[in-house]
Amino acid sequence: MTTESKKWLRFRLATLLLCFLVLFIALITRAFQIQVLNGQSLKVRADRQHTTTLRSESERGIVFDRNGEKLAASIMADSVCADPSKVVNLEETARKIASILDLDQGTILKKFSGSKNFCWIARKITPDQAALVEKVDLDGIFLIKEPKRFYPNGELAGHLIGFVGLDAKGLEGLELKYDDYLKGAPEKLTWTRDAKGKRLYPRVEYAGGQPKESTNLILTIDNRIQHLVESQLKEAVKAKGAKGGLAVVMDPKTGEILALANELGFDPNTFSKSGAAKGKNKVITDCFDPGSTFKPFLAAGALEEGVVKETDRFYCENGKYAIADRVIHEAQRKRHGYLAFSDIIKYSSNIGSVKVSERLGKEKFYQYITKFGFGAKTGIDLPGETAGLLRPVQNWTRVDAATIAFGQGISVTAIQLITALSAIANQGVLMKPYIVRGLVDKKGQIVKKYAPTPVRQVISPRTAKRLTAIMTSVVGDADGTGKNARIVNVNVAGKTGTSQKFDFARRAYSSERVRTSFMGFFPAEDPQVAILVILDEPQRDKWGGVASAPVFKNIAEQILTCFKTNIRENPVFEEEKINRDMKIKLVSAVPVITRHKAAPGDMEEASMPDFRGMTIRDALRKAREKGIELNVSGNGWAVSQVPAPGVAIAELRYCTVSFSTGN
Amino acid sequence: MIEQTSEEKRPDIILLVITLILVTVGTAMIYSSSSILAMERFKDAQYFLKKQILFVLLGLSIMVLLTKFDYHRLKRWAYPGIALSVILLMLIFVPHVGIRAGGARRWLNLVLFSFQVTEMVKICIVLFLAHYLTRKVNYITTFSRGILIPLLVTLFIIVLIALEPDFGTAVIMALIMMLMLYLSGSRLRHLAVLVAFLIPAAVWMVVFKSYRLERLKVFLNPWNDPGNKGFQIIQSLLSFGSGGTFGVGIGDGMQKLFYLPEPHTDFILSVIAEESGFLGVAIVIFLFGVLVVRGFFISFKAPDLFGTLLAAGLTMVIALEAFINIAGVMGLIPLKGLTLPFLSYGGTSLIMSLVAVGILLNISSHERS
Repeated sequence: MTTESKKWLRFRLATLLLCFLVLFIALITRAFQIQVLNGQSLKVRADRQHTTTLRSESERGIVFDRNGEKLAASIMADSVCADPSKVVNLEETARKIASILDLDQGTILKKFSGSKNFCWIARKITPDQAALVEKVDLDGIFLIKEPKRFYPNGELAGHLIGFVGLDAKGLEGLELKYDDYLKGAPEKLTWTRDAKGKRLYPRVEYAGGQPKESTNLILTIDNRIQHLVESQLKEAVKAKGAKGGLAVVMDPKTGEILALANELGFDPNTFSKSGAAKGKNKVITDCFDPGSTFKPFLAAGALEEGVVKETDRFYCENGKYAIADRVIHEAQRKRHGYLAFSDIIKYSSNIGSVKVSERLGKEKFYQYITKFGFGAKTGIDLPGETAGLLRPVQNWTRVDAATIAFGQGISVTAIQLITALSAIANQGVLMKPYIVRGLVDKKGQIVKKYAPTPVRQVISPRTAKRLTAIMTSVVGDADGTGKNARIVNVNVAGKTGTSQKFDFARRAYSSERVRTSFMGFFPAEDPQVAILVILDEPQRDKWGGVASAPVFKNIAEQILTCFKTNIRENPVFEEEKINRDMKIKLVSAVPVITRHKAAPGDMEEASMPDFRGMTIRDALRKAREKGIELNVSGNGWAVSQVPAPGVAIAELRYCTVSFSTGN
Repeated sequence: MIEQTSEEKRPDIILLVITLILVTVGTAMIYSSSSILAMERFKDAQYFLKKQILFVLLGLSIMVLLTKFDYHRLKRWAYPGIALSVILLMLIFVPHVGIRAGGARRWLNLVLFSFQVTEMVKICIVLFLAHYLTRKVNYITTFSRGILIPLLVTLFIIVLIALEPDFGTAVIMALIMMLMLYLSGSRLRHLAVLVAFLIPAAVWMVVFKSYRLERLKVFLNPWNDPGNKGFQIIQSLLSFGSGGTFGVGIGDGMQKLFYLPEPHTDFILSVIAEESGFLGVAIVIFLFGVLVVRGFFISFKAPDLFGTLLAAGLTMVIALEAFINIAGVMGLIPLKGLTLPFLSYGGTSLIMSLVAVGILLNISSHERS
């Protein structure tokens, strides 16, 4: 080998080495490019394939009545969905699914073709259907658990609670109003997965920074009263051949709604079938001419202003009183001569009322109407409330001023009416009506408490008392229009009403189509319950005193007998004798604490007593003293309790105590 | 040809250290990348690790033996080696003896383990070419007496390999042949004519087998069909990308969880890239670079032409394989299905790479004074 050739060999080696070095430098450059320069965007793509995210609606909060009964709850229901890309035989699968779910095969096939990787087949199917779907085990068809809203009591308080849509969103009633609280934040589940889709280590991430659980609602509604009101109303509507009816029970001292019923009933479980219009809560959405039930508010104004005394006598024109171009008659064409002011209310004289309103003056009268809350929303925590119709006083003609005196030419809602009535019952203080007492979290801790809200002092307590006395005579006196609402041993204050519906076709008030109503409260000395009953177009007994007063009476009787047993003497319910059983839920009426009554001292006493070591009997006695509802489990001696002793208890007093015999 | 005087020296320590580092890194990364796969397939997370350790021990032993084995005595194996290669390559086509996997027959079934013939053939070809070209160095510029014979032999073997089919290895063989012809001093005109014949052949093979055309298309635009055809290269790129500069940590990679098709063989570098980042990849490429430089230095300093050609040929085999694999997983060239020397799982590949290092070490111990 010559030196020359050796040199050439070395040269060729060097060129090759150089080539390879260039190639390797190219490799490092490329690595730098895809890892450092473009690394982030590739990493985002990689992370996307490594993680799966599932948004799941958190379980919707429960709606409880004031005693802890569930009115609305969520249960997990199965939904069928499909991944059409994984379905082996579309036709066959669609046919099988269709037969199980009772659906049309064509629609399912359309759904398959409509999406690539996911489609719903049927939402929230029954457990039986779910079991069948699981059994046939078709490729690409799977079940997903979704919370389904369930209303255990069916129609009970259906209008009030409202309903939720398919995607667990409140659409009506409380479900809508308190949707934000009930729904919580949707849970966002993120987990890492391998390429086969296997979950590696799940971790739960919430959509918003702070995990927001859904909260439960505690209503002011007492489901037992609600049930009784609904059944009484239903019966009355049927018996009188009415188109429908409304009834509201309210605690006049606090503004709490104890029961609120619409007839015809409405079952939120099947809202999609019955139609949402049926679910309208007419108590707050519909307004109507109040008729004679409006007279007490006129009287209140007149008494408060001192323009009349109970004994002032008014000439009632013998049943015919011409004002401008209009002649006012008494109801049922009665004729009255001179009537004392209190008798005008008792006999419900239209002409007398007109005379009182003339004496009061329309400006003053208007002022009291607005002070009682008419013409404005009450602010009840339900969606869709209307304000009624109250024309400004400047626009009132003489006829208007006269007819409004007996409740014609003004539109009010049922909730306005009972709220105003409650003001009379509550020493002249108008309370804001409300339906949710509080929000509690999943552990039963109070998140938010709604206290009774006084709106304003409408009339003085003295006036309220005087008016109550007049209204008591409406029911109590043998010749009062409300005598059908009389209850033994209890003084009821009330007022009947029959309002003719305005016939838009004839542009006149119809005498055939009427709304009969009765509103009242008891006991007159210390009113605890206010009730309003309205029947819409009863075919028989078209007068409030005959049609609605008995419904009021029935409801009141049962409330007195079963729930408000302290109002009148009743046989006392011996609790201890039946509480020998292990699992008994002691139910006691929750003491009503109004705002002014709740002194700071009360709160200190309101801490959870220590039940541990007590027998069931002792624990129950102690609980009753403290006004706490006890949930008893086990037998023997108390070993543990939730909440723990010493925990502050507010208005919601529940305690679960576990007992053990110690072996 | 007169042999130059040479004295026994210590073999190239840098080459040895680099080899050992690469083998160690490879073994560790094989465990990291294959444990989940092994768990799923064989219910034994260390399945591939154990086998690889066995091969490492076997390969290192052979390497040590070859370090002590005078490379001049390898000349005797040049012709038998080619004969053996041809026989084994033909045996592959015998059913049950050759193992078919993924549409190609590349392995010989040796009952206990499978043997990838082409890995051995590469070494044999380099040995044969080094020996033959050294013998014919004086006629190298003439076509018929100089390069016709090695050309025919090599082309025959390349055709056999291409029939397996193993297009990637065939290309490597052709490249090695040309580079060695170039090194030994063939006329560039001859090589140009050769290239002019080989390129149309390669193009014809690409077009003839439609999947190769597909692969080419995928290479040109992998994001066209990320779920299917572009899946492998995209997953590899995602691995590199998620590694970033410093990686997610050894063992913490996600891509080996069935996203990468063969995380412990062809795509071992993707796993390294994800778990140790650009830093790890740069180190690996740098190590290969140093290895290639050392190999060429050994070739430079080899006492005779045979040593020079043999050393350069073996170095280039390793360098080309490494380049094709690395460039493939990084999306620079189409994926070829070639392993990464020293790092990828695979007994034959590892042992043959270590054999090459062993021969190189022996040549390095015969350096000219």
